[in-house]
Amino acid sequence: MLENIGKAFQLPFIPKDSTLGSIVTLLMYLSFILFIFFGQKIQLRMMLWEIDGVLRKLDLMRGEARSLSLKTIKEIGKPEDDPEPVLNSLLEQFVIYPVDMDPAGIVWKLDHLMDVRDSKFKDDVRLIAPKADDVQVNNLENLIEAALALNTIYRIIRHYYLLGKKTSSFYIILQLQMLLPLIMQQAEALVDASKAFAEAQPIGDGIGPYIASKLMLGKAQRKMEKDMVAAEVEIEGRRAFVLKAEGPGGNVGKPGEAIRQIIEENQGSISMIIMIDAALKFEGERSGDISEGIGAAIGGIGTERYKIEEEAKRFKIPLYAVVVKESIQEAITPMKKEIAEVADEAIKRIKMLIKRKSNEGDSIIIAGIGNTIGIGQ
Amino acid sequence: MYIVILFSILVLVYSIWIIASSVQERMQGKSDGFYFGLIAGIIGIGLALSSLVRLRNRLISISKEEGRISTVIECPTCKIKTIRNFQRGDYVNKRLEKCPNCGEDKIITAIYLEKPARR
Repeated sequence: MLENIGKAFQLPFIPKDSTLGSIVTLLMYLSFILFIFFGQKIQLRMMLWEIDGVLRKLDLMRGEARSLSLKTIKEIGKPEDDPEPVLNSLLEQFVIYPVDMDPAGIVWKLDHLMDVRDSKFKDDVRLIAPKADDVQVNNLENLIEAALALNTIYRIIRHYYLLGKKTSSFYIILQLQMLLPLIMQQAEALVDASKAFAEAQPIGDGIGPYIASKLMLGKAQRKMEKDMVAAEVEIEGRRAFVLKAEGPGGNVGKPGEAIRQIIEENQGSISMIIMIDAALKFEGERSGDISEGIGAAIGGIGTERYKIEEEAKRFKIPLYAVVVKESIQEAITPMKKEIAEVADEAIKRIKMLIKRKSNEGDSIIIAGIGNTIGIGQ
Repeated sequence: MYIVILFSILVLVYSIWIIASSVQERMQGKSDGFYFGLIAGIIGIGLALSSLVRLRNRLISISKEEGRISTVIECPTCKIKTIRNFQRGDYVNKRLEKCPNCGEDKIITAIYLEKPARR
């Protein structure tokens, strides 16, 4: 029987009676035994090897985003001092989220923390880019945020890689290895996003502001709280307040505050709120498909959605959502043609919704939600 | 990448050699190990080819990912549309030079990424 097994492991065309043949057969036996006793260890080594490669790639990516940030800051901001130390500290910046043991009032605490963070971030960017105007400061802020996200991903992966290596924990390494393709997808998207931010090109997430900008083009506009603009437009015989973040700098604004302001100015007599946003598509769905739904279509940490829902509930205003589907990568990379081209179709759908769900003479709110980088008004 | 190509070519050559030798030996009347050699050779060729094809597809997909950012400029009155490469400073709704036909300011109506169509 052993002979047969030996035959099965015998490499072809190496004479089995020769010394070389015996060595090869012996090596085959040895490797078989090694795999039985040290199979998991070998697998662990191979996984660590793979993660090590990805980690090196991530290091290159974060380096690329960091260099691009530095280059753009120097080009646009023309700083007198070296911006590197401040940039390095920005790339390590963090936020401590409020305690949630007693969740009552957490939204306002979070909102306050985010305001402080935004204002500090902007001040720091202004410090290292003194010649940049407000639009460029917003773009630089977005660019540094993408570099920060890449830096954070790298640090987290390195942490678990070293922890897994130190403890030889198969399960830490296994989980990390299984998540690698998704992490790399996101990291690659962030590298593309940083290039888009450096050039101030519209990104996929900007489809909401893009549609709103088409509706408000050529109409009188006014600035609103905070970093938002609004225009009064007549659509299908209704008075529509069209909102978007103030562009063309990279900005999402605070749509919750602006919607509340308009509702209060109209003493609550708003017959509907339509929110237009980019929404995450499922795998297999086509990018640029339009869907209609109910509720506040707005991402982020949830503070703005809370404000909008509160106001809508207070005045019993129906909330409608029109979303354009795209992947998470498409949302943060330059806007694709197939996404930009659905804007007119989305406007048709909005008009149909307005006709169906409101009466002539009503006041309505249309809010284009998302990052308005590269999109003016 | 070059290591993968080299390794795949080595496996391919070795597999072809295995098959050729098996056939040669069988023709000489030595049928011992013929089927093993044949199957091992076919598997080797399959693996090497699949590795090379995957590498080629990956390279094609990477080269096709590179698209260009286009800026669409439109005259609001004449509706004449022109498309050019994106330039730094372009943004949607930016007013540009006057239209030679009607004198109205031209406007950037869209900026998007165009990717070459997949074959």
